[in-house]
Amino acid sequence: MSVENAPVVDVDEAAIPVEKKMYYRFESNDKKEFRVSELAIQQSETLNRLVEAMGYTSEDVENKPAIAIENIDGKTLKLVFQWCEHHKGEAIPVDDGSVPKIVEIPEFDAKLMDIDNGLLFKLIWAADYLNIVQLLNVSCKKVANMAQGKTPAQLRRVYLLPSDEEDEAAKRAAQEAQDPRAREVEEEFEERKRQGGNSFF
Amino acid sequence: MAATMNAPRFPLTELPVPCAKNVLQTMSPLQLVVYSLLSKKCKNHVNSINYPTEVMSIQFTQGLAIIIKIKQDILRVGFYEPHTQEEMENKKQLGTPKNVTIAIGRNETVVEECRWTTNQLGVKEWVEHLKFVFPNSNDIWLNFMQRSFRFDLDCVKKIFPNIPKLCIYHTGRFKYNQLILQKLLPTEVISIAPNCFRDSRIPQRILIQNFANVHYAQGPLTRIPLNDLLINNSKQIMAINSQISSKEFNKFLKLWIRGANPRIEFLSVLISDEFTEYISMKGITYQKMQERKCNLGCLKNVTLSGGLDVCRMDGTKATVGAFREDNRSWLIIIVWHDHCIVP
Repeated sequence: MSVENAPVVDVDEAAIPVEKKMYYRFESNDKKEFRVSELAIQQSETLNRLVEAMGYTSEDVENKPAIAIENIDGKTLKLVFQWCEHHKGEAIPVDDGSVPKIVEIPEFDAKLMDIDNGLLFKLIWAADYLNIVQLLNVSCKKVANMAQGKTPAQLRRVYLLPSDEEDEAAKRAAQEAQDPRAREVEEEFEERKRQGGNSFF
Repeated sequence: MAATMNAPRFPLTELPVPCAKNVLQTMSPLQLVVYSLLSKKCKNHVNSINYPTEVMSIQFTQGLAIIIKIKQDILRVGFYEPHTQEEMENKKQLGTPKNVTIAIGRNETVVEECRWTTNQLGVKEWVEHLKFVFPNSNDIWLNFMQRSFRFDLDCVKKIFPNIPKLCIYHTGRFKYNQLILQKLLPTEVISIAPNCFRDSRIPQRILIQNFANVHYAQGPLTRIPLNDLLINNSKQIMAINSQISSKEFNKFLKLWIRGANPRIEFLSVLISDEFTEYISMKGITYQKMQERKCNLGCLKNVTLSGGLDVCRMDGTKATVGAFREDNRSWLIIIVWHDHCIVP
């Protein structure tokens, strides 16, 4: 599909530059185009740096092709930009690594994330890739909430977590799939470790 | 069952590592414990987030609970909780309990709970597991509470052979209280309610055992005889509901100045009358203390002022202070050994 024929999705009508409000055009990997306000873009560290580096004027935005985001599909990107428009201008939380991370999911975000887990998975990947700190926090909190009230057996099913035996089997399979010489080196390394010797390095 | 079968699936392990870590960082400690049980990897993940838990206590009551303090919350992992009269009367060994209940309590209300009947870890393994996943909880108490007398103490001793901190409330049977002391001492720290003994007095043969800390635990109000204080060679003596008179305190202070209780660093005790300098400090030379920063347990890095300084014959200084709380008067002594003061 050519760029000209690509459907244009306005994420937020209010974000369309009626006055001299700056906005940018982005294109998903399935050729869906989005117009997003400059203020909304600031929620994404990755996109914010990108547009700063490009130094586009309003004319450039109209005349040049939309900025391609090649590893995110339109359905996911629509959610991402809806979130950014709704939260534009809000302070970006600083992750100081403290635990527990206290995250409340606002009503808008809860509705936005009322989606199947496949799409939620993609949304988290997108939030991580685009470095949208608060979207990542709320989407991860939604995943954490799935653990509520679950027994170990139920939680294993929810998160599709392998047992120790399955982890071991996967490791063995990965080793077998390796190049024979690489496997030999690894076995030699393991043998040295068993004998208490130093590592190769 | 149908709800379980149709439960949503989410491939957590396929998320980028920082995202999976973010998920764990927003989980409750209860959810983290359940997650940590799923594999060695999961156990290591929980350990790596270094959750800020505090002291851990293994509490024997009618059942057994491992309790971990987390700021204003309590994480409680419970076993052997009796539901029938027969279960209540059975002698309890510490094996591998089938039923486990994990709960988070806040202000005495359960805010989250999970239980299952397919537990495969023994009590000792549970303690080791929790110590590993919550590395900040390496301060462990063994607490015997009311109605804990059904637990087999040989079994307890076998599973927890080196208990550094032991707390005993009246279990309901004096003989069992004695047996706990007989089987589980020595320990480094002991907290014991005087009403564990028929005469509501902790025997001198216990006090003489050079514990680092002795706490007179909560119980009915009792009196501490002066001799019991003098015989106690601990570094810290704290009496929550036990008292002496101002006159006896005065005698204790005079004896300390002459060399009694050489190891003591901190004493906190209720007084049965009002604190007056006239009675408590009678015949003792003292002066108003200078501001000092303390390096002791609960007073670590606290700057103290306003007490009365006294000096022992060997030159060691101590401060005597008094305060009122809940209509009760407390007296404290802080001895300024070199390691008890922040330089």
